[in-house]
Amino acid sequence: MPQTSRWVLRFSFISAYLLLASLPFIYALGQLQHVTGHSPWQALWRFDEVYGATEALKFTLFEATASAALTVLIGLPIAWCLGRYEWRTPAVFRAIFSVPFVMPAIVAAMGFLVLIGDEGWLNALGIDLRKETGFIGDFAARTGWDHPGHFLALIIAHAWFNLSLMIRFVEPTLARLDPSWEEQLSLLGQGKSRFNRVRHLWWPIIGPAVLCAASLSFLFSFTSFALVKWLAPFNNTMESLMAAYGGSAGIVDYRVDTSEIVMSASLVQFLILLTALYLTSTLQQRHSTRFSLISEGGARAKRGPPNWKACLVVYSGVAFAIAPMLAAILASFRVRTGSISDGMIYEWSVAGWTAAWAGDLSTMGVGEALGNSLLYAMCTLCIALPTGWLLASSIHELEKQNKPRLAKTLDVLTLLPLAISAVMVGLGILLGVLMWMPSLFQWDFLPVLPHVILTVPFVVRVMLPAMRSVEPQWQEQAQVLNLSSFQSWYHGYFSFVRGPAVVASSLTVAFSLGEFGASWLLVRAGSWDTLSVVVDQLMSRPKFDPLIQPAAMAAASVLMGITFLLFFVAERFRPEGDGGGF
Amino acid sequence: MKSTTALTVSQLTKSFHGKVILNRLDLVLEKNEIVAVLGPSGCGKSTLLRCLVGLEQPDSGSIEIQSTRGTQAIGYLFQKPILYPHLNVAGNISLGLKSKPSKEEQRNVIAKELSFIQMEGFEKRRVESLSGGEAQRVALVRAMLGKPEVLLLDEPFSALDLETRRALAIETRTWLKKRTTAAIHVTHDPEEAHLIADRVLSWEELIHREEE
Repeated sequence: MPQTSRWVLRFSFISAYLLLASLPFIYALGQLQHVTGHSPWQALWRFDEVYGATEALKFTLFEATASAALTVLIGLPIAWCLGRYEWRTPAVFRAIFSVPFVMPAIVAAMGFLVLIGDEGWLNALGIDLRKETGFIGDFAARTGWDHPGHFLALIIAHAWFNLSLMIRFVEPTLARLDPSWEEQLSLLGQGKSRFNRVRHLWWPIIGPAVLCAASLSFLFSFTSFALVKWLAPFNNTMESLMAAYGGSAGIVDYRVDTSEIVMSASLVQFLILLTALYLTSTLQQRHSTRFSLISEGGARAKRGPPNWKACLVVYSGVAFAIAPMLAAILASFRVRTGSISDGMIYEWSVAGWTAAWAGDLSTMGVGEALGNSLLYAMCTLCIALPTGWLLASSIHELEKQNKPRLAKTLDVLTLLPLAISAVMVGLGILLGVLMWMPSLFQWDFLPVLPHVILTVPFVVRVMLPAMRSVEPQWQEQAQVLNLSSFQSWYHGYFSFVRGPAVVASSLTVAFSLGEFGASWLLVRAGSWDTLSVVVDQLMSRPKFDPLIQPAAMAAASVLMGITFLLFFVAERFRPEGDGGGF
Repeated sequence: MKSTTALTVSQLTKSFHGKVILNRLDLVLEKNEIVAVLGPSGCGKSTLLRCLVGLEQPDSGSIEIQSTRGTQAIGYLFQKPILYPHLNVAGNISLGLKSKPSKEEQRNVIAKELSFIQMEGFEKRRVESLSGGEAQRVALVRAMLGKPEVLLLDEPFSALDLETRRALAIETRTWLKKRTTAAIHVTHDPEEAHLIADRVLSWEELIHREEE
């Protein structure tokens, strides 16, 4: 196919995708403008007058900043110890620390609920973050801070969730650093003190990676929904505020105040996330530039096995990474037999699993919900992978053709769905579709649309660095061997991006399976519930029935098990030394 | 009368970002002849070879290959041996085969080629485990399997130690002569150039010719 025709095709496809991704948001904004009578500028201007918006913004900024700081505090020592010493099985550690990131947020929320609950492990240590008794309660009374325990639980959960970002960005950088750099500096005047070595060597090298991971942690904590809903139920973030009022927004002459809240909050959130994304993108670029300067080699071998301090840090990190997941699995087998008046008695049983599998009149069985989730995930994969691949290859083509501005613009445009966030995408589709074609709302596959919009940026993020790393020499070699076009493509290109494509596919399926924000808004209770929605439905019910909590944990464990499986498939194909973050 | 010329380059010009790299360059390569082009790093030797094999499009001038196979009659050996890491040694060599023979036949051809380069039993070896010299031998065998009429060697031995470099230069000359393949070998090492070539042209000489 001639080059021009190929670009026309590419351009048409990219335009169609960008239109599809932005239309729901634009439609929703149009509808909200119609209902409230305010222009977007007026809505932004009136933000502080909107009920609950300022408090939500303050809380969101505070929790996202604190979560990012805690992620650095916990993740950096682990990444440092993991990258600096010769561990017997670094890949296993790396895999364990990466699991939380791909775990559905609702599963993480369930795990933390068990950890901080009445019978939780933290309570056994005298730390009551849920009911805030003991020293947490004293602290709250003394400072007048409402629910510091909930806040602490939330930021710990966010740090747990984002831990892998720190490991994935920082650890490969440290592991690949040529030890002679450090040795050379220690022999120079400016490298005699530890502070100076940090200043002149470590910070310039790992600083951008740390900041990049921190800004992504901020971004994900800012848009977190399931964890906020379950761990900090008395506080609203921008995301939960929009979700709470989204159901009644956008309807003419009905609860106009909710439309005002959603419109102002979504616009402010969009601007903040756009700024954060720009910052992240810039830091990521600096990180890759620095990273490419670092030589490879047996850096770990030269530094030798870990000392006891490094072991303590890494094994504590492992315990932190697996505790919520382990707690959720164990809780699925613990069934309450006593009552509050008799004293709580628990026994080990599979009754929760049986109940979860069977379902009841108000909640779908886990098997059926899993079928729905898998169907949605497969449909999402079939659309998101080729779309993301095409977008990534177009960006890469533009870079190769020395059109950096155009490439950067397209790169940022593909990231936009991350700035819109899951709840906003769901709301956009809800309001947009209602206005545009109400009959589409009856379409069972409607949730695939937000899943595609939300997973394509991840496919692009995984595929683009892989495509950039394929050296033209491989294709040139295939060309001079006079291989057929297909053989040239397969040996000179595809074999190098096959691994990342499997990683991107697994991530897409995992994210689709665990997607909660948009599904929660779009999936109506009935025959198309997803597994994450079922977990939420079960946990939202009164706990008079002793099987409710174990059943919810069983459903969460199934989701966890599948995500785990997908993740390990993806890990087998991940290129060695991958520092891409996802 | 049958032509004795393998390749004729006339008035070849190539520039990058306004900087002229090759300026109306002429070169004639006879059949079964090995020509070495000797020049410093960065002078444009690789660009010349890349234009000849079609990896770069010249701005002007002509390249005439005396073969019905066109550019397919040209083999190329890169400076760094490019062996695909997802394939083992046998898999990499088999990429050079012009047609797909039966598995048995393919095994025999590969075993024969490996024994020719004194690497018997290396079929299943991972390419990462090969030394620089071994990797370059495998790349050379692969390039020769396509039965090229002209082989272009882009400083293929430059990253090797002196002993291996000398040995490979002599071996390569023997292989080329045995298979009556013409070759252009570019290098910055005069000793290597004289070991391998029938005729040595310095880069200045090429430029000087065109100025004349």
